Amino acid sequence: MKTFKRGGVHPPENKITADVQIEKLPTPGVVTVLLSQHLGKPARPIVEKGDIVTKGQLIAEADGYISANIHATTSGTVKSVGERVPAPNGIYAEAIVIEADGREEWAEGLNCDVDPGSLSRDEKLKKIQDAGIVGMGGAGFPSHVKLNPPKDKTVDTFILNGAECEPFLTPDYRLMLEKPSEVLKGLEIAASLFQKDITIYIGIEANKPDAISIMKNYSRGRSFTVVPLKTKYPQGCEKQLINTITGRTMLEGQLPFDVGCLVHNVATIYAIYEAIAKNKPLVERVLTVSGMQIRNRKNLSVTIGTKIEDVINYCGGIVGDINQLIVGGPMMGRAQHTFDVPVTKTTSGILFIENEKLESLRERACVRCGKCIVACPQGREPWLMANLAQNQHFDELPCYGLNDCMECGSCTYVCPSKRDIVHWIKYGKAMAAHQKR
Amino acid sequence: MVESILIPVVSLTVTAIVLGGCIVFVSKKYYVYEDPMIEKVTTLLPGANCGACGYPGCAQLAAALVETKDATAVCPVADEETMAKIGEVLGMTLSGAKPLVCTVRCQGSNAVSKETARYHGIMDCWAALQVFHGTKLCPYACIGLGSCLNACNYDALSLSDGLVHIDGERCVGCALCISECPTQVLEMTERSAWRYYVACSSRDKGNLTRKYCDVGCIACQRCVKECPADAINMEDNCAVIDQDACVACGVCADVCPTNSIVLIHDPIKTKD
Repeated sequence: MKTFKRGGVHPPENKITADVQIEKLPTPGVVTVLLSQHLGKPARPIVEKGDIVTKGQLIAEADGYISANIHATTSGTVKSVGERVPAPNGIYAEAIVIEADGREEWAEGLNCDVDPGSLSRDEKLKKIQDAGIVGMGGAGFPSHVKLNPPKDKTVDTFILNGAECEPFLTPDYRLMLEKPSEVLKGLEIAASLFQKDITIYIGIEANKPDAISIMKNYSRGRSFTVVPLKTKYPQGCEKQLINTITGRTMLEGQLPFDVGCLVHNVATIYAIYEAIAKNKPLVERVLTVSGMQIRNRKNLSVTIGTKIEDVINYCGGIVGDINQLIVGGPMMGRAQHTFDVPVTKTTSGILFIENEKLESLRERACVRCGKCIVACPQGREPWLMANLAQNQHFDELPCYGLNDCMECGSCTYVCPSKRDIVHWIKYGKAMAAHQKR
Repeated sequence: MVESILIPVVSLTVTAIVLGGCIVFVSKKYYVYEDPMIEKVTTLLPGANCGACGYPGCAQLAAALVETKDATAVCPVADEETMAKIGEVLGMTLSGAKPLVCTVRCQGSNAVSKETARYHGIMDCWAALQVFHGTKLCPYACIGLGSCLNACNYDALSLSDGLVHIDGERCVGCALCISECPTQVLEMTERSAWRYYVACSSRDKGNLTRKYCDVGCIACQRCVKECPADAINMEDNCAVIDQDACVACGVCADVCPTNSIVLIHDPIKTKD
């Protein structure tokens, strides 16, 4: 079975919610829509306090090309604009708060069937841009930018990323099982933006045999190739997935289209389908609520802007104590300090964890065992970068591949000295940028 | 027997004379003229090589002073007396920088600031910022993990109860700590025996600040109205005292409902 060349780890999979059907979480009374749910500049609000908005209405427009539109995720009244609320990335960010009227009324012209075949390439791209679609795997890069590579680059391979290598998370898996035809139609739409003879792969990890067989069934008679991948973290990372499927290697600083590839994950492709064939902007997403400390572990279709508090209430509350609330997967997700954090376009999971060892964990000195070098999927030396950062040699860090590191966490996972290697590298990145300034 | 003493003594003496000759020859041959004034000025400068003047160290500043006679190249650490002495050596009048001191515009110690979570990661403000906005609820507060401590060459900063404290006697006003603070709660102010300042840098609206912390500036404007010297302004929901206009009457500190205006006695100035 195929896998990437270097490194990787095998954390326990813990896909507890794999067999739980996606449920719709009813829209709560108040939704908090962050203005920055993507990479790039935050969107500029275009509504005012007291305005009546309908579901899917544009409430903040993209500020520049690398930015994304934000839509009202439910119908109701705008309660405040620009209020600062805790965001999942740990800072306080501006948001638009909407008080829902419970009618879920779609804005005019939205939520209707459209034949994707009748649209030209530019119209499709425009629609994707208008719908505010961003990479929903976690990075949040605006999709219209990714789908429109510079003219001098040729893309010959399109990869649907269904690897979902993070433990616990199952939203993409459930989407592939429950909405296979929609996902594949979305894939067709996205691929139609490129030349006819583009090669299309669907990469799925081998621990999801149901998804592999259902995708194979549905792709019969179409030009898609389903590729089963070895279960290994970080199989779903862009660079590793391209390496696995095409054998091409992305060098430091290269983007996927530099090696003729394009990778989109299942949730994004599904959102593209909804935007083009159903005329729906991105107002809800599927996420996994899991971890040992939540009563009912579920896959939920959640309105963007729902607070974690509402999700907890719907899932029957927290059992016992938790000392870690993680948004995203356990390897790359972020710990949160409050339940007031809203769900964003990139929230793929919410995990409730009681880690008994957390309080007693203290990092010790590096013993130079080299385990992190073996684990690093980028073939770098994580211990060296961590030690350089710890000893304040920030100017030397880029020579050792600082910007090549995508912070996948494999090194921290294997470290026997429990060193916070990724945290040191993140710190090194921040300080290198600070010193340059 | 005599040989074992004589041989080393003679040989070492000869070697010493030869090598000494070499040193004399080399120092004459490769002599570089250096203005003796530079040496004199360097000895007068504080000698901490802190870099606050913009030059790598004191010797470089001295060289710049001697060569360019640039009156704007001033050691921010040296007091007026020292600069006057240097001016005497150089035959020019050097006024010297106004003595500055660092102040912390935050009183959010662990006791008064609401805590959000326990932090187990790397004990450095910048590192904590990579995860979340510090353990304090207020996004403008002193994170309290001491990134600024490393920058200080004079041991003037200390941490206690999750807040940075400044030893006014040790602080020389070099301003090296300012850029190290990610939330920018450190500020340089002019030294004066009595000084009132707003110990809060929250730019959020009053109701939010009240939620964060008990001693934050809630932008109620009472100090602005009561100030007899009109020295207080509101900038971004936070009071700012114009130190030039301030008459240090203390009315603002009396009326402040959250006690966010604080009086500082300067240890050095008070001694004078």
